[in-house]
Amino acid sequence: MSFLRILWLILRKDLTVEIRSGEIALTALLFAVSCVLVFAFAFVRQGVPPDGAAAAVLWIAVLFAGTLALGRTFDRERQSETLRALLLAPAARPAVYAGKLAGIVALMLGIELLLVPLTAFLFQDPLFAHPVWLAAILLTGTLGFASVGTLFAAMLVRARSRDMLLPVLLYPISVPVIIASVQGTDALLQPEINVAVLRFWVTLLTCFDVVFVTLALWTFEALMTES
Amino acid sequence: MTRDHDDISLPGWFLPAAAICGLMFAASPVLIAYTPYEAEMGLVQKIFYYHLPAAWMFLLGGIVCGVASARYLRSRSARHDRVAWAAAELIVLFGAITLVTGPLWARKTWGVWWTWDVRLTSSLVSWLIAVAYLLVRRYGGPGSDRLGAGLALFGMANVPFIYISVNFWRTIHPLTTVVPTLPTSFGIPLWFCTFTFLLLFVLLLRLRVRLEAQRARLDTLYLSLDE
Amino acid sequence: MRTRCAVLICLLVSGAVAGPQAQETRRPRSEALPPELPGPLFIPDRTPRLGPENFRLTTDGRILRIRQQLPTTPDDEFTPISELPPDERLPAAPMLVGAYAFVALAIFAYLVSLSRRLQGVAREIARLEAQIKRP
Repeated sequence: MSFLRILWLILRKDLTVEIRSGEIALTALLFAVSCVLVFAFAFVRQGVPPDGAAAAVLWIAVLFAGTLALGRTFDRERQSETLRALLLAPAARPAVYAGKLAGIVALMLGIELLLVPLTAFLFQDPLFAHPVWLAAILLTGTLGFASVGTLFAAMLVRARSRDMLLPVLLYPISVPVIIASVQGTDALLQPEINVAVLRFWVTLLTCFDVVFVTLALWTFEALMTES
Repeated sequence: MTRDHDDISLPGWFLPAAAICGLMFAASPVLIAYTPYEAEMGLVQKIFYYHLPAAWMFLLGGIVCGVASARYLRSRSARHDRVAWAAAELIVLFGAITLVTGPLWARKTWGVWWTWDVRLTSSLVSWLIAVAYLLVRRYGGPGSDRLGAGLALFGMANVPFIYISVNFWRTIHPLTTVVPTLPTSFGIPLWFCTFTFLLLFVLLLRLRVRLEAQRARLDTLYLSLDE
Repeated sequence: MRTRCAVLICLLVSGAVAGPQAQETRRPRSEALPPELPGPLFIPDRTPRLGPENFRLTTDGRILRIRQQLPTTPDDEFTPISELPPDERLPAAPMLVGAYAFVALAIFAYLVSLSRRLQGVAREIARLEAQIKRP
């Protein structure tokens, strides 16, 4: 079977399970909304939100919700032993990784669809002023975070203390994604946008995505094989 | 089995090298005390003779850990895994030395304990990745060797991204060109201390690899006891 | 016993007599030498000397101490040491000593940790080998 066919089959399986049960999507979404609300209560003083807080709050909420979603997705795989079945199937391991990655990215983008308007509303920042740039930053940032997260979450499936270890491993590695995404979103919120700055951050995020997806595809087989 | 035995027994050069290292460490403060004072920074500049070699060993540890992890993922040789784990501990040790001596020097020279410039932030994030590696090896359970190797590999690949993303912020760290332009009177104690730290690095690495080899031997004995 | 008491009394008396006499016979210090430093156990009194300008009387009769507001520099800007006023400059020696002490402490702590782990494993190996050799 071709790489893309396996990717599509795994993506379709994950989306079908998610649409039927709604477990991870709904809980991660509610968690993200609660996160944004907590930040609103913490930062908004006398009804006035601080300048430029929307970018930081949005990405922190996305990161936290993404971490929870990653953990729960692979926990579900472990409980049903489906990950072992996937690895035993006659499918190229990189394609399995790509399928899981696509599923996680789809889930996170779905959460962001609600989160971005909520953040813009609560923090009164013009996040939708430049929708194309916003979409580019959201897509590249989410892909960067998910590429590393999917690999680590898959590796941690059989590990002890996996719930604690996933953020411990993921956040330091995701530092460039966090910096670039927040700074890029912040640059969008300025009254006069600097296209060169935006282009720099989107290019950095794209390079990060390319390098880390390639590295993950290359090492997934070695990391998931039981010795 | 022969490899394990090679790692357990310390090589012939170990004790003489350890004696030389000890003597050099004892002599280094005397050598540093006789170095002329730097014009602007005065007495506190002498922290530099320990800070910079420690930073170099921090970097060297990162390279050794990354390369050993990559080789471990390819060959599954236990020796590479031991070297990677030993190097990670040395990254944490020399990183801690760098991150403590740096602010002590900075407080006097720059007036601040910490600033979010490129070198400091990149060093802090890399140090956190090394600490995460040690936590994974300690609490990850079975399969933590591959997990750690993946983390080390990703960490090493991440360094240029961390650097570039943080570089957009203002930097007040001295440029690397400071070292080549140092007059001989400053250069001699610097290279002396660098060689001392390098010797210490090699000795500690060898000793730590021995510990892992001993643990592997212990596991073999437990297994043969069960049989 | 009586001899020891006698020796002790003689020592005390001689010390009491000789002390004042020794100070009187000390040669006067030459004018050319710099003033004598206080002895090693002298600890300088660094408590701030507060005057009337440090206090303010409020309208309801309370006395408040005025604390000097130093100009705060943002964290991401630095002031080179040469531009700081003299009373804001830190002494360098504690920083230097602290740095070197930390390096020594860190390396020593790691060596101790490594040595303990090695010894623990070696002990365990010896115990297991003895257990295996036993029939």
